[in-house]
Amino acid sequence: MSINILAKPAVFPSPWTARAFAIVRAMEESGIFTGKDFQQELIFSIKARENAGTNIQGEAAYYDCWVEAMTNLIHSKGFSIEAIADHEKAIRFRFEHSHHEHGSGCPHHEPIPCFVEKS
Amino acid sequence: MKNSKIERPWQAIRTEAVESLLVELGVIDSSRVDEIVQHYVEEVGPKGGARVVAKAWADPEFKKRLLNDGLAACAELGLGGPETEKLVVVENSATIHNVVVCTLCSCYPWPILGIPPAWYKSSAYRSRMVREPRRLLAEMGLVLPNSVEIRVWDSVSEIRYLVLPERPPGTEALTEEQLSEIVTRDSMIGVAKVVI
Repeated sequence: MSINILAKPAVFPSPWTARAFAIVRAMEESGIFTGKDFQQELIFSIKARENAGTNIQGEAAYYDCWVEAMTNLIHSKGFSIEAIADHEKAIRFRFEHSHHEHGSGCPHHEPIPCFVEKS
Repeated sequence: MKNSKIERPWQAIRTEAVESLLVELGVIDSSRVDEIVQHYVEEVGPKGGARVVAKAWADPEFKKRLLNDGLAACAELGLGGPETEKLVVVENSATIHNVVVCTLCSCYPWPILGIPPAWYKSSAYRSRMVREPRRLLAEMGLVLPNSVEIRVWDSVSEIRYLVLPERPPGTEALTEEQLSEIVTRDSMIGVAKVVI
């Protein structure tokens, strides 16, 4: 296993990782759980992945564990998995009927710039 | 054309769903989530740690306080936060080199250095740094002679570590601000030296 120290430094690799990070911090601030509670759940998630033979090699794998830990912890604090699933369903529906889907699926769609700076 | 639609990763959908649910229940506020993201993207980062190191190099009294109580000394510079309970600063010398790892997850002095780099969280770094630090450091570009003792510090939630790197020769005339510009994140984790 080698280390790529030259990987491009970025604070967060994607918008959702930033959101996932901040949601956990916000929940700690709200007193739903402590930083230590989350750390234990994150350790569990990372260990489970590594024990299954999958190394954490990049940000994606690490934040997978982060999201898994966040989900498991809020579930253990009494928030329903079904409620999360309902929200996921609504988000998928909105996304599939969003501008992106319409643009790619509709033969009459005319591409328009989202911003124009006049000369 | 339908099969050309953009897929969103499940993690992005899950994250949005969790936020949406928690906001709906009044547990968290999306504007606070925005603020936290902005704080870490724009305000927190290794530049904070670099200021600490530069001050320690320039001010022997501050260095004493830093080595005695890292968190209190960083607070003098307006750095810190609830994420770190105790900050231990370990000083490099010609014969001792310190390096920091979190063997279990990603514990790191966030308020001082920002978010850890991807490699810090990797299985390879976390497992190898405690088994073969000299070899791993060499692979990462830092070759240390056998005469130098390597001390590996395992961060945990209660104790975070910051390496105080050696001040490079030829920097005697630099101001504190100029010194802070040569201090790198990697040197404060201990996988690199400060060079000019």
